[in-house]
Amino acid sequence: MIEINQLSYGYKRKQEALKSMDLSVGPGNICGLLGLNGAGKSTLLKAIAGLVTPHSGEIKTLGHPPYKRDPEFLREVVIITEEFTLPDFSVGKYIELYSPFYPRFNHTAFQRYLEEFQLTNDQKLTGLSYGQKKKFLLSFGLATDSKLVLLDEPTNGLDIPSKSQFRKVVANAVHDERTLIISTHQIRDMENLIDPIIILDQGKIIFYENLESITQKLSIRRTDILPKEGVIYHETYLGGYTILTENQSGEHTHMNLEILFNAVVGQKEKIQSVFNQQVNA
Amino acid sequence: MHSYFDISRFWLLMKLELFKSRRGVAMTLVIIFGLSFFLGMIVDLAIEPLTLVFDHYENYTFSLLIGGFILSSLAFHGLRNTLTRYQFLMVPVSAFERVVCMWLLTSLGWILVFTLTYTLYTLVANTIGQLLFSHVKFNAFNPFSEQAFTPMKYYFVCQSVFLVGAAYFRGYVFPKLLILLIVTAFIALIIAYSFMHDVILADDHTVEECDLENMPSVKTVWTCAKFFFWWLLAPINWVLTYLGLKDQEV
Amino acid sequence: MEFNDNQAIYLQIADLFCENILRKKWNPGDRIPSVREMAVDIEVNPNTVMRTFNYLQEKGIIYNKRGIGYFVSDNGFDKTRSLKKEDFINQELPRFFKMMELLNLNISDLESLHHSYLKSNSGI
Repeated sequence: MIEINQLSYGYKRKQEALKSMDLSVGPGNICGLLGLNGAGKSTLLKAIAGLVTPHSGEIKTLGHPPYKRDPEFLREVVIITEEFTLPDFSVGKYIELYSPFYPRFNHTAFQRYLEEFQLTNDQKLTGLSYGQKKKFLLSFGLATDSKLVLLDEPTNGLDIPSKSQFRKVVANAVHDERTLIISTHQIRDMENLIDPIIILDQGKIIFYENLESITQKLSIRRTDILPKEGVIYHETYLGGYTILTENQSGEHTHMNLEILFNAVVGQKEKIQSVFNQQVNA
Repeated sequence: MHSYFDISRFWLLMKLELFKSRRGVAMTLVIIFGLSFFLGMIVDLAIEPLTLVFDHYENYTFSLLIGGFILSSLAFHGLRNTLTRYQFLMVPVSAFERVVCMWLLTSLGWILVFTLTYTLYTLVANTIGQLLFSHVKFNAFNPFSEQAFTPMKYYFVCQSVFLVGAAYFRGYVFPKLLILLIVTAFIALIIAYSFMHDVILADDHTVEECDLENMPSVKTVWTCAKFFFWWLLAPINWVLTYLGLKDQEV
Repeated sequence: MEFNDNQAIYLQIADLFCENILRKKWNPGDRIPSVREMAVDIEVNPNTVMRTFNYLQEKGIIYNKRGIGYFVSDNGFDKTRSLKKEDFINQELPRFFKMMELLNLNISDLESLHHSYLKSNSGI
């Protein structure tokens, strides 16, 4: 779906937001894109959507160079950014005018999403709250059945019940031909939703694994005493420790993404060496 | 070809753009007819009691051009800021379709809609005018006359400049473009003056008073300029608009 | 569904399935909800639910009828019970024994406690 080779892009020549990045994403995933502020997450999403033209390197989204913005490419891509504006139409009018651009637009699914999010067709878009606007855009974007959906901080501004509805709607909308990429800091909102996990640091991808291989190679557990060896990363927890170690026992433990993220960003080399090891049969 | 132009996609875009601009167009028309009626007719006749014949061509010319220029400079309004650009750029249409669509709407579309509504307006305005100023003869407005056709031709060409502006400037296109045009005209005048300043000073004539027949170089320049204006200016601007629209980023 | 912090999510979902089978909510031969239905219901990635299905299929508890869906195996109940028993002996009991040690409880204490438990719950 997405093939990126040695891609570089920067708003200023000297400070590149993406540095010789390589990335390949297949269909049927809900990818979580994590990274500190300024790591290049939004820029990467823009590059994938064709909203910026790379300085060097290669990028193909759905087989197209995205920055050419071929209409046949655009109708397969939806991006929902953190900030946005909507025209002064009603929900129904927006659907009437915009949905025909998307050949597989699913009106039944759209109405279901609206219902789930408690929106109605006659509401005026400009009269909605920020969270409601976002829910409208999500409903529209997912109903297009576009092959690629890019979401930048989708749960920001959503109220508590909406976050759960969001997870339901997303779990329902993904299928074998479709990939979602969710860039987020709200890791808890996504904990069991995103797989694989992509972690970006200073314009480079430092971690890209699916949960299956993560649970096979790493484990997180709580201990009272911090072991002297084998601990890749630890945090204190109620007088004890939460430790992240290489998975020796073969047991599959729960992956707390917050701890995984902190470990990857803090102990980049150690984590990478765990994943780069040759498996000895 | 399909990725550059697809007729069904094009109609969807037309529909979308028409609906989006409905308020802007309605407001422009209201303002234009208000100004034409109160300032261009009532006030005009009130302060000049000697006027015996009134016709609408002058007001028509002025409003067709100004109204159209303002609307044309709003053609790619979606480019005005980063947030609206996301929406604008992600609509599955090609840059070519966008240019053709906005050109049709703001050029031919505006001429047609404006001339039609203006004709209707003059019928009403003449009736009211006759009641207020019984001594004045109000000429009917004929949209097929030479006097109406000439401003249409000028509009058709000049409007393309505003499309280019709409594709390149981010927001406040109309004022920015006006300033640019004034500065350009000023520079052009200075250049023209420096070239012809001998001619002008020698005979103490203005350029118009010179006998162009006797000055082949000036005549050639003038013919070229006219040719450029009528045949090249608009197409060049359309291409520029397309190029500007094609290379947009967020 | 509430998740705990110890086990991988796909295993926790498997536990939920097993519980449904042991409580006879799902009986042998019953069709169980699809991957998508489960994913939407418990708000997790469909891939994770798929992993649960694969895991339980490997254990012989459920099976796949192509194009129709997943069903509880004929001997699904027994297999589930032996799987859970194994889990209980390997995971729960060591923790339990450790706690007994800490609290200074012995097996005869347990016996009387168990006896009164059975008594109070006999009506259920």
